[in-house]
Amino acid sequence: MKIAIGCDHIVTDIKVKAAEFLKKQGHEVIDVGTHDFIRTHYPIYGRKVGVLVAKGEVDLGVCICGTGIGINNSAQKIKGVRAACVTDVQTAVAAKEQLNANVIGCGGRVVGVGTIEYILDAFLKAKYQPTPERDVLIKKIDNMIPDNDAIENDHIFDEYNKKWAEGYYHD
Amino acid sequence: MKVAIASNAVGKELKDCVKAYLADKGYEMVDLSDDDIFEATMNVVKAIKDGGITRGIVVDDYAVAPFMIASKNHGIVCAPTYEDYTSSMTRHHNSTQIIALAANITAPVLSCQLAENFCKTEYDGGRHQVRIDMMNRIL
Repeated sequence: MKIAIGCDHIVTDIKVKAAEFLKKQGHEVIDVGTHDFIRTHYPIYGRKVGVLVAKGEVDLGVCICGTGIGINNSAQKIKGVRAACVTDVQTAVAAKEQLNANVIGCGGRVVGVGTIEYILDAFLKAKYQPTPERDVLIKKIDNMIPDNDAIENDHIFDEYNKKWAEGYYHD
Repeated sequence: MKVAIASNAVGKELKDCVKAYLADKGYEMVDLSDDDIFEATMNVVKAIKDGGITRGIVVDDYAVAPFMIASKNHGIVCAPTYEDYTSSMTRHHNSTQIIALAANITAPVLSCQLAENFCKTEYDGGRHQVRIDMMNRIL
């Protein structure tokens, strides 16, 4: 399988371990970053994973940040993405079987590498179990977001990165 | 503080438990449940978007569907919440308005604590706001 994986600067080391695990299982992994521990912003990488999934350039996406919430919300906001952010195997399997999730995520500060490997393994083995009700719900979810420029326009964050560089956002 | 809460049939028992717990803590609970998880989640989203309510809780079996549905609304951040760290950090860092709780995964005592953590924690703002602005630019 072809899998995109992304993270923010909090969990880069854990993301690398997850990517290595997937490669060992024989999958082709596209690591969209971030690649170091320099402060950056999770929507950049959540969007990158989401875009590859939405365009069909990968089969699945994996998103990890501190809690997983920021990066998976970012991926979720791409049309065509159905992301789950989990802490256990059973939920990951349910996300695939019931809602045909195409992005799986978790918090690198929440669950350990062993649990992440179990989650990824189970999610990749699980299959969507269609029912008419599930098909309807998935269609409803996919139709929620109108067509917009978020998939094609790689510059949507430019103004925010500029404001960040100028010191507009500070604690 | 006013809190919107909703579940489908599968989440009803846990929802009633969390609702009673928060009411006992002094929160004003608005129950917007619906047997259809899409409608239940959208009821909570609308309550947040209409203003006056800053926290929403949706309960079903695994918290996966409410996360997908709520997050696909502009300006909404939803956290499927199964443990303590996320229940408060997602307020501090993500300004999350809605958490999803999983009746099949998280027992009532922990679920009530997660809901309370979420309700009482405020957003840190500052550097975190750039990420919120970016999410709002995606959708």
